[in-house]
Amino acid sequence: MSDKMSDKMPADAPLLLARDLTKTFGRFTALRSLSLAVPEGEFLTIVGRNGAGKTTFLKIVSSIVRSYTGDVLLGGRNLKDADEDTRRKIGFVSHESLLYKDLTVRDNLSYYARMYGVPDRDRKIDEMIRRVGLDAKSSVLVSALSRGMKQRLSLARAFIHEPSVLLLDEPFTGLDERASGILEEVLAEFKRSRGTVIMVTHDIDRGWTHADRVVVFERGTVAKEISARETSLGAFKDEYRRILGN
Amino acid sequence: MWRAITTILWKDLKIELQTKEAFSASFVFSLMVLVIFNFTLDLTTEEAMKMGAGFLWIAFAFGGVLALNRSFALERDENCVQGLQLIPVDRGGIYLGKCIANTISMLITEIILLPLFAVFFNIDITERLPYLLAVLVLGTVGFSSVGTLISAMAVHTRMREVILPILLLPITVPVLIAAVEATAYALGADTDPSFWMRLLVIYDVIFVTVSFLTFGHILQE
Repeated sequence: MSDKMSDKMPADAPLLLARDLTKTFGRFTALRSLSLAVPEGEFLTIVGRNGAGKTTFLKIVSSIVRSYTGDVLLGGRNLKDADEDTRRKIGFVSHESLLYKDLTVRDNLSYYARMYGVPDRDRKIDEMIRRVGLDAKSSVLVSALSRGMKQRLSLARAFIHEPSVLLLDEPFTGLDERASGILEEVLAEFKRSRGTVIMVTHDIDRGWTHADRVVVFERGTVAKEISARETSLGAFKDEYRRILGN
Repeated sequence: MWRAITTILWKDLKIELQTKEAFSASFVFSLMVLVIFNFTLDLTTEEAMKMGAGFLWIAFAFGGVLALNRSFALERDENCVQGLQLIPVDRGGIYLGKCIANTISMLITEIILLPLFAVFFNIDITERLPYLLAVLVLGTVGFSSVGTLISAMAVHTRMREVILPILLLPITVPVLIAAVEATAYALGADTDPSFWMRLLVIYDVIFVTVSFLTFGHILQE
């Protein structure tokens, strides 16, 4: 572990620990020796300009990207050789729904539930469909749903296997009012149940609402960490503008 | 592993039953190839026995390319390929599920085309039918095993529709030659197919194994 990391580490062992992460795409370095610790139950918001490495970080933590240097430990297990049970703890929501347009609402959830080995699948699917308010649409093809409905279904997809770590990449993009409300509700409930959340967003106001801590990424590394409990939103915005240089 | 195979298979076949896109594209194209060859070349039954196998596999191969292109195209919409990357299962299982789904889809098209081929070229395909079906299965497994892998490679590229045939057809030349030779025997030609059948089996085993082992690297961004 680097000295820099040990300074940032909380006293208790973090649920998620990124150590010296570096990721390059050709000549472009997306992450530069980035280290970050996230304790269990924390809501961490990551902000930063485009190309700062926010999404790359999420993709590494979610195992979408697997070629990088450094380590990511989830519950003490290195993600590079993590078993299915460790990876099953992760839920992922992005502005893309990851849904098959030629399958029905129920079939999409059934597909993900099977893949994640969800027990008592039918009951869980019914529960998730009800929770996101799509009861009347369960036999409808996803291609016939509105954008907001798709996003609500995408939330059901991400929660179907009851993850304990939730990764959100610009989750509010393209959401209608109802879908945003449901997402807010779900996040609040998830936080109450001591779920760990890492949210990447450009929407600082929304990112601040639930956050325990806000991290600013700049040029592939952590430029600033601020406790949302000890700082006001206005002070953070001033500091953020200063980091971005405008 | 088994869960991934059956779930991918279930999902891909369900989407194909819903849309029939892969089937309709490959069936119409393959049928047109056979119709054009039939009208262009006025063959005797004996000539057709020898040359028909080649026409048949040209139709199957090019129709198959269309079906395989569709295989990962459906993962591109709404970035479903990211869903595949997230799922905590052995990625080899995802490959096998996709490969089996593609093989089944191609075989259905081929089995529907066979009687039409027999009528067009006036060939009795029933004489060595079990043998003919075995060749179809082995040839199709070889073709789709490589095709599934390349289709996954092409999904992140800009020229994906072009890349698949450019890479797939040269790699599958051995399996196509072997399938043509073995099919010629199945259609009544007086040849010894044992070498070609062995080649088909060896090709299938090698390419299914290599693709299974490398698919995890191909799927990641």
